[in-house]
Amino acid sequence: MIVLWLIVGSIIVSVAFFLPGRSSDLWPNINNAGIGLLLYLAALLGVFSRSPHLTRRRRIVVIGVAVIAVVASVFSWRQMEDQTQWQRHKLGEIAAIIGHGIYQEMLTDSLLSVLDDYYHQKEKAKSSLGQVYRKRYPPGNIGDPWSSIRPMGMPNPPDDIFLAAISDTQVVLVARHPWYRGRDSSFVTYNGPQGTIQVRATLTEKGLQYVTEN
Amino acid sequence: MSQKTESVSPDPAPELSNQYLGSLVVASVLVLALVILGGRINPLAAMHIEGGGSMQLLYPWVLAGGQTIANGLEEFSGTTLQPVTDSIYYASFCGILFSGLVVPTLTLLLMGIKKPAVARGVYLASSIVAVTLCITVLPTGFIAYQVKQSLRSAQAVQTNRDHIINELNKIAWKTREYRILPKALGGGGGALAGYTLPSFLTETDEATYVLRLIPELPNAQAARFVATIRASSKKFTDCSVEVSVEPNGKLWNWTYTGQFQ
Repeated sequence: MIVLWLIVGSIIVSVAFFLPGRSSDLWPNINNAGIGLLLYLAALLGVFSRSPHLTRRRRIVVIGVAVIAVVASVFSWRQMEDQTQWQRHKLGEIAAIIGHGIYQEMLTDSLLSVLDDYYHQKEKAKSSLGQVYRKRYPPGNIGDPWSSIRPMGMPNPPDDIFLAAISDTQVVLVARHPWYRGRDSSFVTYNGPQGTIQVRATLTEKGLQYVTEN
Repeated sequence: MSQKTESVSPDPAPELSNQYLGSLVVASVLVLALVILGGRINPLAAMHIEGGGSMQLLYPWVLAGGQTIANGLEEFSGTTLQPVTDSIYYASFCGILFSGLVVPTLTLLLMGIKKPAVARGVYLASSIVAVTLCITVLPTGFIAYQVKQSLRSAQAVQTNRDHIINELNKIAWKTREYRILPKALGGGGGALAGYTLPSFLTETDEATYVLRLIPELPNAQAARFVATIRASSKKFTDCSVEVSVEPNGKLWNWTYTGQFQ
């Protein structure tokens, strides 16, 4: 009898567990198995409640304790899922905040340096904004990642900041992260993966425009 | 004389009999093995359970939670997510079978019936595990709930602080831009005098900002700082951040108050 219960229960739990298949996440498997297990435990307690080997009072106490334990387990189980999913989501948010902070610092600092140079030219023949940029960050071809800038001065210049446009009157830099997720998962980034954070900084003679695009 | 119906199945094995001692030994060995060896006595030992132990055997959802956190860290570092490893996958399956199926089935169906020594030992062991599970799961769930609330509260403060830092940096580069731009284009022509925060930076969803300019005297030695900014959190009213701004827009002297400290 006990062996039969164990076999039937194992089949129910196994089918429920393995049904969702194997992915990077365990929750679909163990949640499915948990539902199968609840049905099994309900049937088991139903049979136990009619056990002729125990007094009625003992059966009621055991069933009461079992129900409390099951409810507490479900609560603990759900807490764990909710909390860990939240932590995973938060890690993504923190990554996005860090990414935005780094890009804001790098893009604004580099372009305002260009603007500073532009307004403090000592030569009689004034260079355009694009020329000043190219002088500071050569070679300055459209589509160039910063990692291709020769005298960058950075130990590890990033390869996720690109010169998107350059002319006499404006310079546009776009930064997109290779994996930090942005708000819109369908956002098509500049020359990169879909849905990651992206910012755009446009420098003109009137100043800097900094836009968070995703 | 009324017949007593409460006692249905008196156990014939007297205490300290060979049968009783035998079952006690079996139970002790099983429980000790579970507690001390934990995951190592699991049939998954060959697969090297990561972090395996009796806790994972009793609470398989801990493994799923650990996997979710690991996934979050993988995403944080840009690694492509892989399917759950064999060890974690089968350890969680065995945990569910063990704590959710085997233990309650043996405990409930063996309770009160006459059993041989080995079955009695198995029953004792399963009862001890069942009682351990029942006793620990309630406070564990409650503590987990408390930790969750506390973590969320702390994280909310940290997130607000991070947003404010980003917004202060934005104000800082706006001041630098103003200093660079010529007066004809609405800038300060080399000074910050006359600069006021634009309305979208005076008050945001995160905080309110007050900028105080430090007068720059002509022909004087260049001042270290040109302004100070005070950010007062709107979400946590006891929290604020104060910084000094250099002429090049760099921020110094970060001072945090309240829960931001």
